[in-house]
Parts: sequence; C-alpha cells; structure tokens
Amino acid sequence: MMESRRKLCRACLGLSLIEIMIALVFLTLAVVSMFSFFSFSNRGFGDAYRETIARSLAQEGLEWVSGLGYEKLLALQTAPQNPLADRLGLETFVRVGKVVLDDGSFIQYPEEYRQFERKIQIIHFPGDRVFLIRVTVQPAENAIRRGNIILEKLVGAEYD
Amino acid sequence: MFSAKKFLFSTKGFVLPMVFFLIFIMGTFGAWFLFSTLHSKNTFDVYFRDETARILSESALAEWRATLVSKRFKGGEIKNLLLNPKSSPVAITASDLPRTVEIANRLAGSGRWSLSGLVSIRNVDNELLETVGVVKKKGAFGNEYQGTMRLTFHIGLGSSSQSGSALSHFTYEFDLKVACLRSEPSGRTNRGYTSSALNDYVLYIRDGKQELEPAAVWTSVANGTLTIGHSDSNAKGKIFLGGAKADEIEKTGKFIFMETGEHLDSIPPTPRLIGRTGPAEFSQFLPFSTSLLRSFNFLNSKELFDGPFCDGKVLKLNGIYFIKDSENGLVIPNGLKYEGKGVLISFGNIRIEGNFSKNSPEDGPCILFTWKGNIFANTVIPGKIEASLVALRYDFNPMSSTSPRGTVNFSQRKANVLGNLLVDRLNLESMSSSQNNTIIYDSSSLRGDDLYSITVGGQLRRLGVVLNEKDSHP
Repeated sequence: MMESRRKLCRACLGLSLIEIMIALVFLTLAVVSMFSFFSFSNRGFGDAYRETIARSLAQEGLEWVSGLGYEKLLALQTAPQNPLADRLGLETFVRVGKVVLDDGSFIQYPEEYRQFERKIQIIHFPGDRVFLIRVTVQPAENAIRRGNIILEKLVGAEYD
Repeated sequence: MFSAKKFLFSTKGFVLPMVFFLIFIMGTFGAWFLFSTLHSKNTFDVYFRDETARILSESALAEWRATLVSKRFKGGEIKNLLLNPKSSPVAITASDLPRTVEIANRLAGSGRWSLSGLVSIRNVDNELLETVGVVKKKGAFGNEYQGTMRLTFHIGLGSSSQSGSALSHFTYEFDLKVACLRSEPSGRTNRGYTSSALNDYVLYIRDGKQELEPAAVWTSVANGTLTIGHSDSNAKGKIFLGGAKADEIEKTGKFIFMETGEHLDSIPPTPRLIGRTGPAEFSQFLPFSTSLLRSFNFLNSKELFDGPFCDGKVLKLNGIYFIKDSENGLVIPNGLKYEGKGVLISFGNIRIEGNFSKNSPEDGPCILFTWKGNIFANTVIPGKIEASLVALRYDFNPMSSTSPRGTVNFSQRKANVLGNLLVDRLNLESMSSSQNNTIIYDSSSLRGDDLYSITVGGQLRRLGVVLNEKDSHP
C-alpha cells in the first residue's frame, strides 16, 4: 500500500526544468511567429482598405468629370475663367476634405478619406474629339504602402 | 504493461503536449485570419479589375463614337453596314482605338490586356409605317431606316497564362436613324415626290400660276431683277411653277417645268421650255415628314443653340432636326455658320437675321424648312444665305385661294441665296426693288450621289455587362 502511494507521488513530481524550458521555447517561437503573422495580415488588410479608399476617390473624380460630357468639358476649357479649375484645382494636388455642392453647401468626407490628396488632369485631343481624364490620388502622410493610384478614362463627343 | 490509471493521473511530461495543442489552435486561427485577409484583398482586386475593364470599355466606346460621322462613316465596312443593316457585324480592333490602347497599357500593363469589339445593327425598321389620318403610309425611301446600333466590347485583363484571367463583356445600344438627304433622280422614277426630290429644283413655286399670272406682280421688281442661276452649269436645277387646281382636267398642261440659267422675268417664261411634269400630285408634297426619321427634337431655338450642336458660331448639322416651337419658330442669328449636312424643320416661322453660310465648301446641303409658317430672311441686315429655303405649308389647299400659302419674305432687302427656293408663293414684292436679287442653285450640295445622314442617339438605350466570364479566356 505504501509502496504504491510512493510510486504515484513520483509520477506527480514529473515536471522537470528541461520539460518546462522546452515548452517555453516552443511557446515563445509560436507566439512570436503568430504575432508577425497577425501583424502581416493586419497590415495587408489595412493596405487593402486604404487602397480601396484611394481607388474610390480616384474613381469618384473620374466619374464626376467624365459625367460632364465632351461638349461641356470643351465649353469649360475654353471659358475665360474655367469654373472647373476653380472648383477642382486642376493640375494640382488638392487635399480631399469635402464636396461642395452647387448651392454652396458641402458634404464632409469621412476621416479616413481626408488622409489623401487628389489631382485631376484633363487633356484634350481635338483631332480625335476626345478628352483624357487622369486622376491621381496619393496619401498625404504615407498612409498607404503602395504609391499613387492613377485612373484614366476617355470622354468622347457624343454628337458627331 | 500499459496502465490507464497511470496514464490519466500522471503529470509527468504533460506540459509539452499541452503547448503543442495550444500552438496548433493558435496556428489554425492564425491561418484562418491570414486566409480571410488574403480573401478580402482578392475581393478588392476582383472589384478593381472589373472596374478597370469597365473604364477601358467606356473609353473604347467614347473613342469609337467620337468620330463616328466625321471619320468612321466615310467609307469601308462601317458605311456598308450602316447602309445595309442586315449585313454581317463589323469587328472593332485595338488598332481602331489608339487612345484606349495607351490607357490600357498604363492601367493594366503592356501585354496584360486584350480588347476586341463588334458593331452590329439590330431592330431594323425599314418600312417606317406611319398613320396619316386614316391612311397607313410607308415613309422609308431607299436605304432609309431606324434601328439600334449595338456595340459590344470584350475586355480581358491579366496575361493569358494567368489562371484568374477572364473576359468581361460590355454591350451598349443606341438609337440609329438613317435618312436620305439627297438622291439621284433616276432612283426616284415613278416614286412621286419623295423628300430628296426638293433638291432637284432651283425654284419651285407650288402655287405659281395663280401668283404669277397677273402681270401686276412683276411691277414690284420693275427696277430690280431676279436672277435664277447655277453654281455649276453642268448640274442645273429645275424650275417648277405649279398652280393648276385639282379640279382642272388638263392638269399636266398647267405645270411649267424647265431648266434655265437665264433671268426669269416674264410669264410665261421666255427661256427655253424643255418639258412639262407628269401628273404628279404636287399638293401633298411634304418632304421630311416622317417623324420616325427625325434625329433630334428641340423645344425651341434656344435649346438647339444652347445644346451640344452649337458653339455660338457654328451649328453642327447631322440629320433631321425638328424645332417644335410654333409660336416663335426658329431664329437664326446673323453670322451663324453651319457644318455638316442636314435639315432644320420648324413647325413655326423661320427668321434669318442676316448671313447664314457654310463653314467650309464641303458642307451642305442645309435645308431650312417651315411647315406651318413663313421664312423671314434679312430681318436685321441683308445677308447671304447658303441654304435651301423651303416654305411649303402642310395644310396647303389648292382649291382654296384664301388658305395660307408659305412664302419667303426677304424684308425688301436683296435676296442672295445659294441653295434653292421652294415655296407655295414666290412673294416677289418682298425682294429688293432696286437691286439684283439672286437665287443660285448650289449644284455641288444639291446634286450628286445618294447622301444619307446617319445619326446615333446620344443617350444610351441599353447597357449589358457580363463581368469576369471564366469560360472565355483572353
């Protein structure tokens, strides 16, 4: 009886220093690699999120300008004071802050959008009767790993 | 010997398996998280790719359409397709769209995209049946029709070896009108007065006999003259002086039909009479009346001149434009020029303030046509009008001498027309009584091969999109 109880206690005393050390090494390696794993994933996810915002801003500018149509763009470009340039700041990077409506009221962009600046360029090819609209969006404070987002689109005369 | 009791209750060596189990759990969740992150990224990428395909497709459409009439319809397969809409679709290749190619190279990378397209004509109506009163009337002449132009673009992004690459298909449809503006007289034999017949005449006076028979009419231009001339003596216009009443038995004898380059200064005309018309029912002559062939409708002049067809100096003409405003009609400002070829139909009057001319010698014909009113020319200053002036009332009644007749009123100023004049009555007393009034037939515009205006509606009628079709790799 006494003999068997002694054997059981010897089994209870099985946590050796070596065993714990090996376990700690494995655990540390696992936690470190998991941490970098999560960090990598988070960064990728954040990049994709910000890239989508940048892309949306570029697309918004592209659609906004191309929606005016060839004839309107032509009229605006030849006008003495181009109201489009006044409003969008053509050829220069403009910090994305708010959309000003025709009646003077405005809509503020969400916080994440305001980390970007946008440049809109309008290039006319009179021989082909098309405008090339180029929109470049870049992070204002290196918020995005990737460089600029550039989108381009043609707007052609609809009434030839 | 294995002892279950010893295994269950022994603590010796249990930490390591527990750690491995923990690492396994953490690894599983970590991998799942990474996978979902990559999946989200891929979702964004797919969205970006589809959007890039859409941008390229819309750019291709914009570039192709931009010079539709001025370049692409000039000849070749496209012209053949448009004049023979049931012929095979015509391919659009990247070489037709150099600007789009530049964009594709920048957005997708050189060699990492493909673009092809097809243009076809659908829903062709070449009868143009319209009900006039109780009568159903076929309105189409020659190759005239209305239909739908379909443009399909297939965009592939990514290299062809890439497993994820696929084609996206974009279909755009627009209204299409093909109207005949000029035709060879030989093609109109036994077809009565078709719309383009008005180009044959330098002077057409539907109610001429009644108006010009009284000698008193000619005293109004006693000190002035009216010269009927031709810009090309080898391509002369005809003169038609109608006026027989419908109940007169020998109708044919009452029509004067001649070609002349001389002065018209007496009735009956002294120049050689080369023939008489057949028994054509001239009283119902209402050119370009088929509403189905109208290219664009405008509420009034302002809408026409403020729209994309005019930059304030030059009016771009292509097809049949209809101005609905019967009260104010169409007002053409002094100095306006036009380019292209077409018809301006005003339901009300047409006022031409002074000069109205071609932008370049190739332009024209331009036909100014009032259905319900009169044309008032030189209302501000005496000017040169390089257009056809047509004032043929839709409600012309030869039986009634009191029913309205369409005329051109030159405001007692010199008539200076390069084109032709088609009226119910000539209204000589409105011309200058001290100067030489001239109506010169514009042979180069009004005579020649069959000419069709091809108008594609500005508004998109239908859009079809199939994104990322895996079965059709580029």
